[in-house]
Amino acid sequence: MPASRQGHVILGVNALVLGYLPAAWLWDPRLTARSPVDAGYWRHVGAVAERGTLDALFLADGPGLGDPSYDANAARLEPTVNWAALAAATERVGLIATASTTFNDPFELAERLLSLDYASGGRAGWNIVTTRHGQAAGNFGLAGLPERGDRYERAAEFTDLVLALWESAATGREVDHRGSHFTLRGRLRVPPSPQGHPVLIQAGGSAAGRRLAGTRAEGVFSAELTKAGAIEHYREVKGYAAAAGRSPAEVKILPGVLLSLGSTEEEARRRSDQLHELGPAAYSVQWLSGSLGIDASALSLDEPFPEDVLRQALDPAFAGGSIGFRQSIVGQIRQTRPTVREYLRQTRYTGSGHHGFTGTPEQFADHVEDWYRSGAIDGFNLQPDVLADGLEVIADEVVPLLRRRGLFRHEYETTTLRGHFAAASGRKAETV
Amino acid sequence: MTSHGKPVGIALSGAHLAALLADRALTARLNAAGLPFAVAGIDRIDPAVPRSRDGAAGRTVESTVAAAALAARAPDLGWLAAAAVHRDHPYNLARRIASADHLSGGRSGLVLGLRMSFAPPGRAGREVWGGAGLTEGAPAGPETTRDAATAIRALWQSWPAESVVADREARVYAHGDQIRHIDHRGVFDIDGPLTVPATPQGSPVLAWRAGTTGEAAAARGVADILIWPAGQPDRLGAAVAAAAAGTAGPRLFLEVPAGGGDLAARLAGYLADERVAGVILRPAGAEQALREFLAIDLPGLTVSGLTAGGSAAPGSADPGRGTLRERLSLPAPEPLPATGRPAFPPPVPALT
Repeated sequence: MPASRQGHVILGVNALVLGYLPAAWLWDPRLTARSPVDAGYWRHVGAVAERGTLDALFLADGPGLGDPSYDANAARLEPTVNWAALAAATERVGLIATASTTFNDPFELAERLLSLDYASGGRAGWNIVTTRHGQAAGNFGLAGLPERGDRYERAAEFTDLVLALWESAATGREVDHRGSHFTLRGRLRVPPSPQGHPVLIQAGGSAAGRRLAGTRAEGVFSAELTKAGAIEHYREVKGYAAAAGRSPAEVKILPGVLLSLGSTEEEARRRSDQLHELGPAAYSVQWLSGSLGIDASALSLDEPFPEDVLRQALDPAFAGGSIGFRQSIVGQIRQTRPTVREYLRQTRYTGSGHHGFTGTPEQFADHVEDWYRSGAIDGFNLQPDVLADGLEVIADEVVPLLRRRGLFRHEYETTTLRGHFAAASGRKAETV
Repeated sequence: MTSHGKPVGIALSGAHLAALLADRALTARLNAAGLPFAVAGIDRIDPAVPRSRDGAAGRTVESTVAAAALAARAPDLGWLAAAAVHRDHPYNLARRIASADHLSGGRSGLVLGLRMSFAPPGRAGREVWGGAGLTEGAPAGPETTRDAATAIRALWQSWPAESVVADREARVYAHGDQIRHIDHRGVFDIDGPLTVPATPQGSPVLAWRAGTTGEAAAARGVADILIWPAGQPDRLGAAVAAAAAGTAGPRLFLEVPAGGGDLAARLAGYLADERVAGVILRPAGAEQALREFLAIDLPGLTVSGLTAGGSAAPGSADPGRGTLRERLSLPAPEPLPATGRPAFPPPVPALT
């Protein structure tokens, strides 16, 4: 193992409603038709996360409905409201809500997020996204999504304005903003929270996204497939932070990892296979279509990926899917040149877009330790295949292993999300 | 049970919400007070709240977040969040209220006003959703709010609860073809559907706090409840007529200032008015006013039989139970015709 690091890992859980696989609703007998929208389900998730002294729960989001015919995860409560209700039932775990800079008014969202922070005693985080799913546009009177460059430019102005408004709640001084997207004069009257304002999380892996993360974000939810790529991006974002006059420790790098755990490696693979086979057959092809922004059902399953499809996917000007996911997928395909069928099968275990891990809790603890000590991550955003039992295995088996290795806290020693992040670097700052 | 059988709730200011969220004992006292429902953030939509240049003075907390948190901590009350489509979009607002309704087991609702008192007003004539910088924006007024209310009601019914079957054998979670686009076209253009199924009480309660007879007329046919400030008794008849309240239109709830030594007599008078379906008591905005109301005024009203008090007699209707519709004696929402475009193709059951 490379040299030791001070502090410990950060562990978040990306709920993805019932878990990242569409068949999650079929898996656990405790799940019911109402689980995605049921307060009891979410209270259980919160209680298990706090049993494992996890840093944060994270909710992805987009203001539009996907097809729920085979996939209960399409049913999505609005994150700030879901976390406000869960804040009342939990004490320590951070609550990170995804909200779009494209489909909100910056004053309203700044007020709502600061309200969540206040209601949770300083445990809120905002995952800043620009929304890439086209079905949302029709809910807001738009014919299509604004172009990617415009969305990011708007996101930067939006984020700065939200930060200024949060500041106004503490100082009482008005914001007078005249920008290219927003003109606003006013201030927030929400009481400041114990951590001052919500923690900023940036998701997405484009070059522009990484720059935004380095200059403004306190956490990055990134997509990495290989350790080498993760180390490179880790250094890039920390470099942007340093160049912006920040301490590199102020921005935490937390890639997603798709998790299937079992008591043996064989059991974990069997679980993953069964879950994939229970899901709709078209799911992986649909997933690939969405991720690459193409109609993947038109590809020949037993041929390698056509070069023009891969080239198009790497073009930042191409509008389909997320550029970060596209880069990570194409990098993976170019390494082993699989056929489409082989790729879809191999990604069951190794992940795609995000990297996957299929194995035992012991093996996963090794994996966390390796990536952490190699300087590839500050922690992981864990994405269990099925949250109901997957989160229990994390809290009751993975976390104790990491604790024994000195890689994770035994008790919560901090009360706010920003405090949890700071404690991971061995610092004790509870407020900004 | 109250002597009159009409629900009497409480309207909370932003400062009250801030105090309740910070003080669990105060929230527990409110929860045990025997009130069937609360309105969160009434001053946020009240045009009479004194304004500084950038909006109302004093503290506030966003009402849907506050209502969701307080509904979890005060499970014996129903919670209506006061909001306006000013800097909030009907799709986002519909989603948050429906989410709160699921999480509270059907104890949630929305009170619409024309504008947000605590928000910068925005460009005159384009203040509604203009601040988001996506579209031109629309003027704030009864027609805009009515259009939003129409879209919100349709969104709440766009995903029928009975389409969710969770059939493990067929591996079908929901019949996507029974979910409908709303294709709302008006001040707002909204395709739908919503991201959550219809809620445990059919739809959240939709109320409109009106300050003019023009608004009362606009609430007709879209709102379950018309909230009318009680300061204008001479205009009550006009508002009732404009909204067709009590017949085809919404139920009329009076908003009554909750101070003064004659509160019990005034409240009894309002409750005796057959046009009035319920009353919302509104303590003054400061935190201390809520504490005094709970400690002093409310117990007096309970003794007089005007409010239910903390422990209802066995066998009587318990204000701490049931959906918000049941607490407010409202019928199930009128079903909207399911004629919209199916949102998804019918699922194909798995062969097993």
